[in-house]
Amino acid sequence: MSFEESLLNELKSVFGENIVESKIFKRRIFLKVSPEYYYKVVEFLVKEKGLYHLETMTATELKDYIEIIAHLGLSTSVSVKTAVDKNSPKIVSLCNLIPGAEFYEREIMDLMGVEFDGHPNPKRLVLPQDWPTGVHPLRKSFETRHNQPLRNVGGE
Amino acid sequence: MSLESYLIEMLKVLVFPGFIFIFILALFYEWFDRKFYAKLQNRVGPLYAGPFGILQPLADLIKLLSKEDIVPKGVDRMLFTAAPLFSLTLSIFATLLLPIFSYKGILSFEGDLVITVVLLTFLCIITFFAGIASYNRFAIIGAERSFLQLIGYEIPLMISVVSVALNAHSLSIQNIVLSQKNMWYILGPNILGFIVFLFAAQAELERIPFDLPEAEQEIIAGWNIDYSGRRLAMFRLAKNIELVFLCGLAATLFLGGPLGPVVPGYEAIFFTIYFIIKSIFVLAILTIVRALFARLRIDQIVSFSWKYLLPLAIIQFLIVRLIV
Amino acid sequence: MSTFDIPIGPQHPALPEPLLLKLEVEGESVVGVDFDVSYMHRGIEKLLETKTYFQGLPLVERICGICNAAHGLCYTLNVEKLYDKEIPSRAQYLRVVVEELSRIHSHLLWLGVAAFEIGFNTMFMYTWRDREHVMDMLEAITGNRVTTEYSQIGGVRRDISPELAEKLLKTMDVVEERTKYYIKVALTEPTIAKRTQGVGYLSPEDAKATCSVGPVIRASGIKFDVRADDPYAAHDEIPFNVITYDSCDVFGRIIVRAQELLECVNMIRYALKNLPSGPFRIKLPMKPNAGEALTRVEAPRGELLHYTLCEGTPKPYRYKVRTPTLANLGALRAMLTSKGRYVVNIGDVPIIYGSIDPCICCTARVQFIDVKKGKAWTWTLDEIRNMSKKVKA
Repeated sequence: MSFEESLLNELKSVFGENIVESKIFKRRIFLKVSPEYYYKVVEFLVKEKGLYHLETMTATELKDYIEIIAHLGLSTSVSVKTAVDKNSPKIVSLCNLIPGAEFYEREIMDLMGVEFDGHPNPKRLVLPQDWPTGVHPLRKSFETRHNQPLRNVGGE
Repeated sequence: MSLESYLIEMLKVLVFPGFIFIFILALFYEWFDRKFYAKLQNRVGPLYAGPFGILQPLADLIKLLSKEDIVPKGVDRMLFTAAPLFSLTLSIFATLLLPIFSYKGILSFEGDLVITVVLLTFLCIITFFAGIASYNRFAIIGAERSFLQLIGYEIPLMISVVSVALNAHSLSIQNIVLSQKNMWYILGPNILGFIVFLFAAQAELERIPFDLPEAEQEIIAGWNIDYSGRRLAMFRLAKNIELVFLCGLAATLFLGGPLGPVVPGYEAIFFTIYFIIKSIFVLAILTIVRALFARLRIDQIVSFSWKYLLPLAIIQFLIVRLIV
Repeated sequence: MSTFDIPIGPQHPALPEPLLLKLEVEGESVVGVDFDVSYMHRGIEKLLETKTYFQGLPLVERICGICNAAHGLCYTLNVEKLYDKEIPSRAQYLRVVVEELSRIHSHLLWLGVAAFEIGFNTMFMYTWRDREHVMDMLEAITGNRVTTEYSQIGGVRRDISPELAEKLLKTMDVVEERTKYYIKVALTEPTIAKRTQGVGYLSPEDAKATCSVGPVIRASGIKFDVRADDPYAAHDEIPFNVITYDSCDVFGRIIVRAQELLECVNMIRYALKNLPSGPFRIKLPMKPNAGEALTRVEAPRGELLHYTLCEGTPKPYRYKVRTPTLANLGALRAMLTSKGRYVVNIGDVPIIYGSIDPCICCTARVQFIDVKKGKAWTWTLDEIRNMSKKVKA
């Protein structure tokens, strides 16, 4: 049994039904967990399995929900996915567990408009400071053409 | 005083070896510094203006002079205007004390060595005021740094100069030059003093590894960040003249100044040539030092001065004291 | 003592890229720091959703000018995962050659910049001169100095001839000799040691906690290199050593990068000597299979990550890029505010900042700004096409 399979089996034995979906590739594991267990699964991976390295976090807008993925891992990369509601997206922050998550969560906050509970420094990161609130470029509803300028840029 | 001798004195001050000669020499030294530095770094350096780019410093100066005169809002206008003027005036005044074409400078009196050291400190104080006058964060840090640096290098510099004076039993530059007729001080007991003097000169001129007051990567241009156009041109010219002055002073105090074998009757020409050769030798050392090191941090400079330069200077002083 | 703020950036001689560091300064020592990287967001992720996978490659290469080879490689590897096809191993070897060449050029460039940050201009000039050898070789192999687009979906763009390989091996000798000289300089020059030893301290615990990557974490003594841990392309066949150094400071980062140069040289030699024969490219259809893929590549600055979600259309549904600099920002903050052991001086800020080899263009990737009209908007491909038609007419 490969390392990926044994890790997945262990996760399944610990979390049982809460791991909704799983896929395995070479040195890659994709998991889908229910939102309540998102933090716990990540905590298990970080504390028990020593996957301290958070590669990044991705947010994708799917048809019914927004998917948040935390990519963890050193040699084997484990992607923990969870779904958050599209209209009022909110999820617990990983910053207490992994301080390095701060910048990734701020990026998602800007580009996808997901709120993170317990984030120590919820400020703009990649968007300009005078960007209008509530406009999130990576949402599928974001129009790339605007009749009115989104913000005023100084200059002559 | 007859009209003729009066005219000759005027010519001395204005043309040779006074203002115009010093001005040309300053531009030439800047060119030499830049070209040699470039060669050390495997670059070509100034190339297009004149043969081997020798007119580049002049072109730069003219360009700066022709620029718009900007006084930023919020600066202390009077100090902001006065600082470059003072800087230029004092550095030109200092060069008049150098013995270029004879045993003595245009200005020469008993105790003129003290004046040179005072002028060096004044130039640094003007730098400080120039930085303070522009009320800019980076400029204030630069000014602060130039003062901190002064605390470090000034005392070793003075002790090394005093050791020379002690050796010559005189505080006048003329007597110091004359006392080196048999042997230059650098070959004699004052070699340590020469090294201390070079480091202090490098710090006074704000060149790597002591270019903290205007460290580009850290505080952009430091104390002269707000200066542009004419004022910057004046500062630059003043810096170049100070370069001439410090190289010349090192040559005078340690390398026998204008002394050397001469054809009788043509002393003035020979003396001038020797002076230039010797001071360019000093300049070359300064340029090599600039190319060889990285910039130090301010605390490292101060501790370097107090840990190494000052003991060296004191040892120098004691050696001279024991011999004399 | 009262503190005052010093803004470093977004335009500053020591920072070639638009980052704003707000430093809280007490005298000469830094007591607080805040970042703003929002000056350069280009919205490449959004733009990639409007392009097919094949059109996306030139865009991805332009995320970063210096580590473009890594971005291109990561993108192609990532897209290839969506097809169930074996890529010829000759292509994989050639990809490694170009990737390592670009790493050499990036590290030499960084060595120069680092020397410049501490005011050592001579070393800056010398390393950049030697970097030209590498740039020439990149041009000879790929046809371009910077955005090479060498790695293509399905293989590489050009083959390498035996004569060129010979020439490349000769260049590697030059690079090796020069690198050894630079390592000697870095180890023996007193002012470099003074300015870098103990500066920018990042403890191994902090390095782990902030999820830093690349030479930064390796200089804190942690063996983490994607090429070894998660080998891609031909890295599972080419032997190399993971360089670590445990001084945890800027000096360590210089040594790690310099010694990595020697490893790169050996890897290129090995790859060229053991170059498999066969085709260098296969054709792949426009439409990949539906699915998702995640690829990590060791870019010169550290671990680079690309993730894509494909719904079976030629265009990606979502494309995510995570660049090494974003991962290292947390580490940078830890270095700048490290208290107790060493107080950071303003003079150290440029070199500490430089020591993570920052690339803000990489970090922030949606809009065009017309400064004259005071407007900000984004352009679609059609608009750009229409404009080019107008210009032609």
